[in-house]
Amino acid sequence: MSIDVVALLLALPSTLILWLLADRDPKRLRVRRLRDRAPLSTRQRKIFSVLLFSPGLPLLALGYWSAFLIWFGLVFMLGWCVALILSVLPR
Amino acid sequence: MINASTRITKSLLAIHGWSAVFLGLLLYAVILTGTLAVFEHELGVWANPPVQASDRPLPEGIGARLKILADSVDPAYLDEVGVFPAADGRLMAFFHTHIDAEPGREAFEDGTLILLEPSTLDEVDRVTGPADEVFRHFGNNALSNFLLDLHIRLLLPGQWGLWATGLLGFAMLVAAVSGFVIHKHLLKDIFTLRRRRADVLAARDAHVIAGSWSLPFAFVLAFTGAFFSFGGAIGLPMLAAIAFGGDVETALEVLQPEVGEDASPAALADLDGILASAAARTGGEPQNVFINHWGRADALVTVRMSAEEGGLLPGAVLYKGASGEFFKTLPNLGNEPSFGGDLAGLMSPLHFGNFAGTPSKVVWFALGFASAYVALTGMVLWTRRRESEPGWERLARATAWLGYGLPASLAAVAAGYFLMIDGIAGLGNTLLFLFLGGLFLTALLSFSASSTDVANRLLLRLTGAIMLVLPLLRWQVADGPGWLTALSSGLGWVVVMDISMILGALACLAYHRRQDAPVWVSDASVDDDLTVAERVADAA
Repeated sequence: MSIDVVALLLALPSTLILWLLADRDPKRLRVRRLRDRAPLSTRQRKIFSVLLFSPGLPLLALGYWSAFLIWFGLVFMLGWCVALILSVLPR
Repeated sequence: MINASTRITKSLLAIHGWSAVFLGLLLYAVILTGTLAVFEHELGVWANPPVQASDRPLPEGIGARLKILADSVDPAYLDEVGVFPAADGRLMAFFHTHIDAEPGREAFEDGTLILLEPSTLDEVDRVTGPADEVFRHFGNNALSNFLLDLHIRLLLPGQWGLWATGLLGFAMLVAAVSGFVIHKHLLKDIFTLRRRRADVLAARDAHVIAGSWSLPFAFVLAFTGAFFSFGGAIGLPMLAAIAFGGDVETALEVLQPEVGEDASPAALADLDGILASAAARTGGEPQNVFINHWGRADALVTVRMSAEEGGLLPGAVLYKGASGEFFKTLPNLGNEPSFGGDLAGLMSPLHFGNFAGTPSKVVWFALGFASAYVALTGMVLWTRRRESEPGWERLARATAWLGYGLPASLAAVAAGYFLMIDGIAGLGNTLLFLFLGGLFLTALLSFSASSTDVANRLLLRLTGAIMLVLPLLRWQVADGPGWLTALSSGLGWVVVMDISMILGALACLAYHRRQDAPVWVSDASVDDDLTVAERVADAA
């Protein structure tokens, strides 16, 4: 399997964490008046933020720079997509 | 501090705003065309595909074929030979020599350009003359070249275009840094996108969210873009002026490694063997090859390689042409490896996003799209907030015109290409006139519409309608391959691009903004105080 395909696969766990961070984001919940779910605490958000970028570390450690950049760029684009999707989903 | 009257202050403010928006519009044009240019080769294949795709940029047997071609050209043109794939996948072999500058005339390259089918290496056509003329002779890459010229030089002549795009690169850097500084709650707001709220909040959120998520790459794309523009426009001429009395040609020659001058005749070694050796040595794929002093004992073969798997830096290796013996690995800059050279080598993959084939191109396209979206929405926000002030309504209309009229004009250029192209014959300035005509027509539509929103919808639908017919024009009018033929010839990108055009067209045609009356609220209430902003939004 190409290392660049591995980079695409590593974006999957990052997407899940992004979704969780966005879904329980305190400001988003407050602005959308979503009071039925609890926001993440600051500590939880810090932990998830570290976990969000952890899939890229093995790529960096092994020197797969192209795969790392693909994964890194994807995380940012998926973050944008998650924010857009959650903004149009019904409450 | 200058004490200006209110009238003068207002005039200066208008000039300040107009000039900023003008720069912003040019920046948007550069970003949008750069985003499309990520798929320059795929667009080239789609627009004018070869009969059969090749599985590698330099197909097997190219060395033997070049030796036959070398016998058919003027021996003077064996001074330097470059072989590289064009945007459409066909191969170009340029046998040429360098003509020195004379009083009243700049130095130039003169030679024979031969176009080859990549799968069979059959000669498609050839033309002889100065480099700038022979490369314009063929029309097969005209669409990709037009897009690149618009991105790199904004269609301006000579160094003016590079200066302009270089400055715009710095303007983008300034916009990214200032946006980062003024947005105090970047991380806090990164998932907050208010919809069905006051129009200004939704628009501001959409701009900020896209800007926040694309910020790191906006830095990278702006910096590398400015580097490329100013490297050619300022860096090299400055180096030449300081060290070589202004002679750029000599500066470039000195930066090239030499094996020692020896003009005695010597046959060129097995070029296919050299390419295979370069691939084995570097772990990359040969992308193009240059042979200096073909047929001489001091012949030098430069093979430019793709990066090895997982790597970023493309490599280049040198072989002695007469013996086929490995000479040295060519650093990215100068004659010896250096950190600066590696940094310079990183600029290309980081700017073009072509370091890992389709996956990296898709990601870079998305990042470019986000940056174009941020540039456009930023200007729309800026102008529409001031639409009620004198002069700003026209500026808002102009922003909407270029924002939506530029994609429509680019789509019109593609449609014109399919209507005009005849095989590989050149198109001269046809695409430029089509583009300018498209901008003029969209300006008429935009400024004559009853409102900016009506103009936007009209232009978006026009873009969608043109994009929808592009696959049909490609297939029926330009005699391009159908989907089955394309797939059986290894030209899968033709099908992918057709489908992308149709999906893009449908998105443009289906898009409609909610027709709620827009509610504008003051800056003070939307910038910082969330509670007030929410209250205002709720009231709306």
